[in-house]
Amino acid sequence: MKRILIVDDEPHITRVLKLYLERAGYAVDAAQNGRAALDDILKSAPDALMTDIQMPIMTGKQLCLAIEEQLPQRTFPIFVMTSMTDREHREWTQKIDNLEFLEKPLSMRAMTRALDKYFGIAETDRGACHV
Amino acid sequence: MITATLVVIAIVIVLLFKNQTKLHEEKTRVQGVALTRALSGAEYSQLVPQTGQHSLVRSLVNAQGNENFAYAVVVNVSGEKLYETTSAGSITPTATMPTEPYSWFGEHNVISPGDGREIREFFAPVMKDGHLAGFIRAGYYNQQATIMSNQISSLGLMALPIFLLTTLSYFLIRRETRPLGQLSKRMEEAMLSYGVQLSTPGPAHDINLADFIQRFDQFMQLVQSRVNKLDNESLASRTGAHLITYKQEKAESALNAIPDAVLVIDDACIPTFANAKLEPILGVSREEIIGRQPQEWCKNKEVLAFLLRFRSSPSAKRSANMEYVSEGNPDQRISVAAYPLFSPRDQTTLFGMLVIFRDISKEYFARQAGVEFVSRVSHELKTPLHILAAYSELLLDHASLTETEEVDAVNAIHGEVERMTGLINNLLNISKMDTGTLQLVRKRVKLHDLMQDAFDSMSNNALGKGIVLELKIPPDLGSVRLDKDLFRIAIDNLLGNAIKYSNPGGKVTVSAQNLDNDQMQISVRDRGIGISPEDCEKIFLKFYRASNSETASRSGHGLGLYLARQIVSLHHGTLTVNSGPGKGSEFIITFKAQPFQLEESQDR
Repeated sequence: MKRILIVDDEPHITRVLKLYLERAGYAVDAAQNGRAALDDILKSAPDALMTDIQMPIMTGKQLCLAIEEQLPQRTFPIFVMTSMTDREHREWTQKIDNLEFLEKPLSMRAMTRALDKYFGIAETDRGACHV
Repeated sequence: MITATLVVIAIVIVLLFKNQTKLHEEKTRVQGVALTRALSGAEYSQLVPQTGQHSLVRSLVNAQGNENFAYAVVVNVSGEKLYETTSAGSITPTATMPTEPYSWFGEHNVISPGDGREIREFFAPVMKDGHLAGFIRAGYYNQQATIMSNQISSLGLMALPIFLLTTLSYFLIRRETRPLGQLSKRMEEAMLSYGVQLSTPGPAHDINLADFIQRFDQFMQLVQSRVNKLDNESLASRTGAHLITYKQEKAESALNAIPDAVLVIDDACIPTFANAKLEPILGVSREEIIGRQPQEWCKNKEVLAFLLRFRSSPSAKRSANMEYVSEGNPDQRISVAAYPLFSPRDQTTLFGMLVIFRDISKEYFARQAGVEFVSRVSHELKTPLHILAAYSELLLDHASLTETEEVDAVNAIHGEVERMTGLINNLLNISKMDTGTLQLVRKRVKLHDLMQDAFDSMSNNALGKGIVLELKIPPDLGSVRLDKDLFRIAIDNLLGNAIKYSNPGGKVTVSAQNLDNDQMQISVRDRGIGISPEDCEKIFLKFYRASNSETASRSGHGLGLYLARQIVSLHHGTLTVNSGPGKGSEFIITFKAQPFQLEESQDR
């Protein structure tokens, strides 16, 4: 089962995402801010990271940059959920590989599709390797 | 020519002779007068010495050593000789002496009794014991033409070089007058240029001195009149200059009074004017700027590059704008605008550039705040939408939800809808307040009921966060006159904040009391995170949110307290805060319970 780490300071969001993704067949962990998420990631890397940007203590931007620095060999994808789609965020996210934007308000179905598609391709690749 | 020369020689000789004679006469006269006057003032005893004594007369005559000296004689009143000294061969002529005192001093011509030569005799009285004792007479031979005859040859020799010089001079003068002629011609031309015709026009190269002098005189007259005219003109232009200075000062004072910094640069990019406002913006004094290349004083590279582009070519002298952040002060933003200065009469002639520096920090930050506000508000609007979308999708897609999950979802949706409504109401009211279209509709309201309503609508929210709400309002508090809907917004914002910034398990107390002087006071107190002293005033500013992690973790748009204070102000009340970090906050509204009767009439 793929482990998804959700980072958002809005409890409603983490709760509904968890509920929805669990029903779609994923294992979901939640963190309230970037600091908690980073600790979790350093302990064990998730299969995918979904993070908000505007959060207390450590923002989504700081979290992504910290991951870039501390885990240069990262393989899991990062999905950035934000309503702030201004140019500033476009700039720093361009420097980070394997990062995608999920724009708020977010459609659960669209998000699940994106994850399925990502892991589907990954499964195929893995399968090809085994053969 | 020769005749002329001889005539000249003769004239020279005659003149020389005349001159010599005259000189001789002068000399004789001086000596005669001197001698007689000197002897007249001497002691009588010295004039007529006893035997064996030296005579003063003799001594003086010897001292003079005049070759024409004839005699000197002292006579008594009746003319008898008392003492006499003569030159060799001279005989003293007899003479009658004057008796009247006014003619005691004098001179006259006498004839030498010996050879008949003319003698010039000088006489003066001789006094003894205050009485006229006699006269002193001194005679000198007059110069004779015969003396000159032996000088004639030498005079002739003298005349020859004069003649040669004269001829030479003639040619020299001819040559020298040529420039004079040219000068004359030039004067003529100069005068013609002034519109004056010389009275004696003639060939300029063959001009004689008289003509020249006449012309010169005319010229001088013209020059004089010209100088007078110029004097008048100079006076007029001085007056004009004063007027221009006055006008220029007026223009400069206007430029100085402009609130923006003004710099005028000429064609070569060198400043010709700078007003006083420029100094604080560029950090260099006007004296350092004016007349100097920008490289010498402009410290900011961006500004320097901006100024220097107007130096390159006339086509570069077009209006241009730039903005920069002051190097010393990152909060200071300056906008620079340059405009070409065309001559008012000729649009192709450029005087230079007018450069205006304007401190736009305020406008910039207001603009930034506006941009930030829009971004913050859209974020605030999107977050509830995000949750609404997520929960409604959850409800749609998953029929297998448990009942608790369904209730949770619906509650979340309800809460978010309320949150959005509150935000939109706040925005609408602020917009009304900013445009001045908000009308206060005062009505008689029981304060207890108003507070109870607000309290009830919030209690669900508080319960969800484990916060205890406490209402301490006496039911008999009485009625107040206020705009119920607006006032509810203020109270809701305060209560909402109190709940938002409380820690789980905290308590929020709402109380109200009547003060003296018909004042009513409402207090909303929490025991939450509190506010730092620096933030206590700022929290009432539009869009302001304290920047700390505790605040950042709670959603907000920085409008609630701004709006609350505006509403309380509209009711002529005050909204203040007592707080400290970690101590919780108490917001206090104080207002007049029963405002002026005048406003009551509006209700009916």
